[in-house]
Amino acid sequence: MVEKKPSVRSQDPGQRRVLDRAARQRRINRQLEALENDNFQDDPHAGLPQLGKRLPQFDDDADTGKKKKKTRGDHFKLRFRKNFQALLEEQPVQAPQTDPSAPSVQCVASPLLILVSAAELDTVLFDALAHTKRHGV
Amino acid sequence: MSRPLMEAKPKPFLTTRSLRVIPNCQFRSKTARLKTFTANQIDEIKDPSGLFYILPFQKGYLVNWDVQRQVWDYLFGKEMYQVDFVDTNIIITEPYFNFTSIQESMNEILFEEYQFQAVLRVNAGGLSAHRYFRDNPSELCCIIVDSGYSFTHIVPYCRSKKKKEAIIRINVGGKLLTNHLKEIISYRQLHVMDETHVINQVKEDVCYVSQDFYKDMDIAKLKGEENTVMVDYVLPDFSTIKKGFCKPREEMVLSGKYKSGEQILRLANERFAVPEILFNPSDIGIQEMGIPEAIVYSIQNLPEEMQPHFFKNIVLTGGNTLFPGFRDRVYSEVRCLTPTDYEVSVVLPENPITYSWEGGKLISENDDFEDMVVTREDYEENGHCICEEKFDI
Repeated sequence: MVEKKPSVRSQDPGQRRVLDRAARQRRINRQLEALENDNFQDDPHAGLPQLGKRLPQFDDDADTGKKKKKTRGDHFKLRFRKNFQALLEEQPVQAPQTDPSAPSVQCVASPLLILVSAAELDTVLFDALAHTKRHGV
Repeated sequence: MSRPLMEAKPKPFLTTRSLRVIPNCQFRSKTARLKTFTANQIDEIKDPSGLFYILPFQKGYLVNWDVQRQVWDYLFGKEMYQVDFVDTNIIITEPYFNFTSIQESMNEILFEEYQFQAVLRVNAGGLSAHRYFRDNPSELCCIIVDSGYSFTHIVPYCRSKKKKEAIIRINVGGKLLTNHLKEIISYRQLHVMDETHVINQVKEDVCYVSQDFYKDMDIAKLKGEENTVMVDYVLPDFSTIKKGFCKPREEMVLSGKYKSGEQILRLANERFAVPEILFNPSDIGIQEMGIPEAIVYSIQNLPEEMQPHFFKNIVLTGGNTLFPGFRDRVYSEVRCLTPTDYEVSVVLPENPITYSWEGGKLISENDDFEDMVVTREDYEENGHCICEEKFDI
């Protein structure tokens, strides 16, 4: 007879937390957002001194030059550096007269039609997450 | 994420032979500090471990014009294609339902900043459909599956017009698959969360689509020689080993450790469980349909008399379709979900990544190409509305 390998999951009742639906949903959302990341690590250039930027000298009239660049920079940033969330919020405002049921980026995601027991899904996720936490991954 | 570079003028820049697929992003390396590498400059990086990606896109939409312009300045400039804008037309693809503000910014940047002579903005699927109809002139309809880096779209086309009401988007793309693979490897054997570039290569080298998920799962659990799914992947160290590879079966040490100093990943069910997400996104908690179900759902939302035509002309495009077994799996699942009196045909082109580019090239050679584009003069006179009228994004 093959011996059953002892489970690595903690049986200690103190370590087991029961999550409510909202907490589970938050966990799922965090996991899914993590899958959208371009990188796990930080920018290797972060924190390095900026090259190419002249250090301010005392007898420079850098003020006037700086002011001009700043306003242009802001405008530029507003137009050309939006993030996805900002675009999503903007879109309906731009075209209020279109039929709200018309296909758009918001409503075109495919619906799930298979029925899966919600409880089943939750338990599986909980175990996996708890395990991850314990093993420090 | 990598884009086939597409331009057209009387003498096109790129023939099918010289076509290049170039990453549309920038890179930073912790070993080569202070330098930011743009697009194909990634080939210059000697040690791409811990490579940091800077993409102009977020969730598949172009949000960071700083980065995009830097990529284009480099590609269009003297180090690469030395584009003479005044004399050059450009065909550029955009995602489905692209935001109006992005489309307008695109118009401004192409016409006002770069000053191209003429522009055609189009969805990649439109180019693929054109290419497909060229090979199949008797067909009236086709349904394009475009599964790329950011997401997957299922798009029916009828006589070159897309059927907007039946478009389905599945929020699973190559990026998600690679990130998931990084996570499960990090959880099970080795911390690779920083190694997007390396693990992406692992994914492309060892992953495949299972024809029978549960059967492969059973095989993957077996020990020793019986586990025909298991492979040992030797990771590159970028000094002696420049590129990762699978250990040949004869050399695999099935029990115990390897004597050599190589870093090895042992992969079994990861090989097919990762691409399985394209077929069952609920595997990782995404409450959406998989690709075959979405194809059937999309077609069933179209008029009944058109449906057989779509089932007969399913076309797979985009990088994810390159997983071995992808085409056969899509066929068998769609076949199961479709009435027997309908013919089902699923086509995987020879190069599903450049298929849309090939369609663009054909369009650029058409006689009516001039009528499809918006010229710079058109734009200067009429502004954004002429682009909105002519382009169907």
